[in-house]
Amino acid sequence: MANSDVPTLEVRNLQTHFFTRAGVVKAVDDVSFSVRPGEVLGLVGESGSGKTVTGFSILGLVDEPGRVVGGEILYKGENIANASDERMRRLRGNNIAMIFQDPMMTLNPVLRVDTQMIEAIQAHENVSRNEAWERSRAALEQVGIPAAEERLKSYPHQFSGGMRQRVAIAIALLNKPDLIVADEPTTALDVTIQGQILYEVQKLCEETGTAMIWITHDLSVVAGLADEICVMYAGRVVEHGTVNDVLDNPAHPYTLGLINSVPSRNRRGEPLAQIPGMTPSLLNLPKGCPFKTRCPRVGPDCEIEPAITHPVTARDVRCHYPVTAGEAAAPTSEVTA
Amino acid sequence: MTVFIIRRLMQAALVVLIMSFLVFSGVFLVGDPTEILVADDADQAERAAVIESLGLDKPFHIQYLRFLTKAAEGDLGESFVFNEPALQLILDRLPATMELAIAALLISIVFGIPLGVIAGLKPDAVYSKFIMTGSILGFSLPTFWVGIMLILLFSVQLGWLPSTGRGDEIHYVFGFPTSLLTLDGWSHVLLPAVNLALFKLSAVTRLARAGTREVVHQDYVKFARAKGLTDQRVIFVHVLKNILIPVVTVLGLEFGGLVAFSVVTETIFAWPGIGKLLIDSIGLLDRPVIVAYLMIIVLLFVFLNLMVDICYSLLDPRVRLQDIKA
Amino acid sequence: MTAIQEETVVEDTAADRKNAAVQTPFRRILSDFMDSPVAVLGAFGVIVVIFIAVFGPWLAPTDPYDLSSVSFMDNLLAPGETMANGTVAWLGTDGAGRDLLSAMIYGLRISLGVGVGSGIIALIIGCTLGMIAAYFGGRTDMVIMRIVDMQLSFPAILVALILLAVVKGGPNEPGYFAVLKIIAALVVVQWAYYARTIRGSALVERRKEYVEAANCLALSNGRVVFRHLLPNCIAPIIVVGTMQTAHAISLEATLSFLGLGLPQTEPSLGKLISNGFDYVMSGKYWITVFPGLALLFMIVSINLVGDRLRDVLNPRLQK
Repeated sequence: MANSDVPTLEVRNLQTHFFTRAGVVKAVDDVSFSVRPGEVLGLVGESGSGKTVTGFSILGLVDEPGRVVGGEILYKGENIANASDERMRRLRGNNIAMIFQDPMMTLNPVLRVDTQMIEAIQAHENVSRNEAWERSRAALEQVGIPAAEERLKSYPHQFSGGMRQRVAIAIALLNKPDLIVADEPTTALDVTIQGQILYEVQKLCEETGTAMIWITHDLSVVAGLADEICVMYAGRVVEHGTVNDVLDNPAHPYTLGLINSVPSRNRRGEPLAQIPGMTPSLLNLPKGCPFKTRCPRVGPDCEIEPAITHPVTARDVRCHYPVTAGEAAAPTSEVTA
Repeated sequence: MTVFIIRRLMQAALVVLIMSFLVFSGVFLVGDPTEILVADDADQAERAAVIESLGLDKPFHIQYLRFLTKAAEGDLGESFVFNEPALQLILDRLPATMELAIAALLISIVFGIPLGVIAGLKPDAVYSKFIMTGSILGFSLPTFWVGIMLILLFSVQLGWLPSTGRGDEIHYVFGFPTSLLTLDGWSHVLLPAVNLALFKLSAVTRLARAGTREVVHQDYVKFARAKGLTDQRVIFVHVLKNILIPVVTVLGLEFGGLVAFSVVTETIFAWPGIGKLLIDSIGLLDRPVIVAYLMIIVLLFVFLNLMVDICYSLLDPRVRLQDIKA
Repeated sequence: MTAIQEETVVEDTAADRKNAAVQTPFRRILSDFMDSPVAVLGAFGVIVVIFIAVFGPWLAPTDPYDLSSVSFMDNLLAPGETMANGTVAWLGTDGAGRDLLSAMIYGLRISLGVGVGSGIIALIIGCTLGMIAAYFGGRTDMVIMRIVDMQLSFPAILVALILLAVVKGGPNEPGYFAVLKIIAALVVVQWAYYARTIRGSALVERRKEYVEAANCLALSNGRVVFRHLLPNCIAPIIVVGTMQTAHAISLEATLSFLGLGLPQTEPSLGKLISNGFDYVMSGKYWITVFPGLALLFMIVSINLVGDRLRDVLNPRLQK
């Protein structure tokens, strides 16, 4: 793991709000984290917790009526939160790349794969079509696509889902970015394909020193892949620390709930733990801690929104009543397996 | 691809046959041309002579079979009024109608697609709402009334453009007469073409807008932006190529609609095309011309449908694949 | 697709549920409809048009078809001039000396009557056939839908022209017969739209559990169709109905203009415009312009309402 002084990306107090007719939706509210070269950060949360919007905010791809309204996004020290459209365009795909969730939807169905790859290179570098084509072929081979030369001339619908995601990953790698934001890239795939892709991505990060933000709702994926983990709930980071620390000794009740709701072999026959209720609407969050309505440890202080505290060393937790190491008999061994 | 085209051609032939039967029986069963063709003071013998010379005394199926065999030879009967082959009458006037319809089609594409894409990219902007309300106005305006208003404004009040006819300077290009080679010709075609285009312009605008709105929210557009492509490339390559598929389909089919609707425009602007011929023929119950017009229109529609299918498969690789499998 | 869209969907349903307790669906649709000022304007226009159509004879300054009160001396008066009997012709008079405003009020009644009347008949026929096609499926469905497809592949105006051309009567044809003919032609060109629409939504609804449940209760076919399926297909029918009515009014005007529509004795707005066309070249603009504006006002109003209804009633398009 490379260790340089300046993180590849540092997000400080990011706020992305959507100004809808029904009111302001605070999709991302005060989110901070950083990721260094070669490091993988896992961004975990349920649907609607703001993790995808965080990803889009980094690339400046938040659609109307959403806007980054506060905080800093530092790419190698440069604040790009309010960078010009042209500066962002040059960064996208070149320095910061993104892989999307559904491989069936990310490739344009009416354009050939080579068109979609070559344009990604030519958008950033003044190279000939032949050279760009050659690089595209090399990238496809790198992600393990056989007969790359032929495959380049195909249309996306001629590929399987796993193959398409490999193409998308190849496109993300084309310009050797420093940072890849991967938004649940394996969720839509079969388990075996998921394993292959995880393995290859991990290998590539180590080899090239690319930093990666891996967005997912699947704790087991993060356990095997990430160095650090950020747990998000209702647009906020509720817990942040290294993967082993957080999964072994979760301090936030929500993290604990997530870990406990992973089905496990060791507890067969026992009722599966679950977090009661559903994610609150971001339009009218309860006053105070947004998790209080579902939290087993709720207390009088929860009427006030908790600030970030450090109940354990090297850990950010947003809770008035954090779980202490002894209390939580979190069966982490299965998760990490 | 060849199998695909042959299969479509056979389907097309069947449709033409069915339509020929419907058209012929429709025209045959109702309306009596002798009322018009025979003078009121004619005696029984003169009447019978006219009926016999036109073959109107034969039973229906004989008349239909005769019509079919002759139609196969390109003979759709002779106009009662002009005493000329009906097909020839239609073919003489077809280029004028085509010229008008193509001009109208171009107007709707050239203005409609950009307007629709603009309105679709920013659906909440004031100008987008303006475009959309305008398009409602566009398909609400009755074509014939707009035509009259255009004449009233540009011909009568301002005196800028001529209100009738096609102009005198007809030139031949590859054997097709056209008036589009001279300024005078253009001045004649402009008002009728705008008039005819208005309805389709709204349709194309709305279609392009709906397509754009759907496509811009697709992941592949966001992914294209995530690759760092310029907005121009995203819009002109990724968005446009996807919305062209429905637009081309509809436009192909709508071209037939333009030819049909030219009936109204040609009547107002005294444009010497097949639409005006049809209205005149209906007024005079000139049966062979009506039948010939309908057969030509049916052929045109069938041909257009075929062309649309082929264009569709060229534009959308997914369709192409299905055909290879099929 | 993306997280924020999921979020808004979640919120929408949550908000809907909350509102459902206090709001009926009708209330919700009404309030959604009211959000568009242009649509409210359209709805107001429709109300005005209906009001004029219903109370026309009491609103019109003169009875333009009472031959005793029409004087040929009054012909082609410009707007604002006074007629022989002392009434001011605010919009001028036509070639026969009739007060144009009165003629337009009567013409609007006829246009709206023919449009709505043909629409209702087409709706009943189209919905019945579409429902039959969707409910029984198989060969019935195929035959009905082939006819629908074939007809829809030809423009409405062409179909109507042909129908009216082949049954064109002589000059001595009674007026009511001509009216029936045009209504019949308008019904023929419209029914297929209704049939296609209702078949489409009925096919979707038919697969849903509540129909299965109704079938399991051994309810009769008729009861399932009319009490269970039909109410759930109402929304698209309302949208198509509004748009088609506007279209029918426009088509009738066009056919009357071409001389194939209503007779001189039943002058709709289209016929008035057609009469005025003869005077356009001499600069007597009012005879075509004013009836045309009235026609436009009517059609635009209906279309604005229909356009908004489509957005409001279609849950897929709701933002």
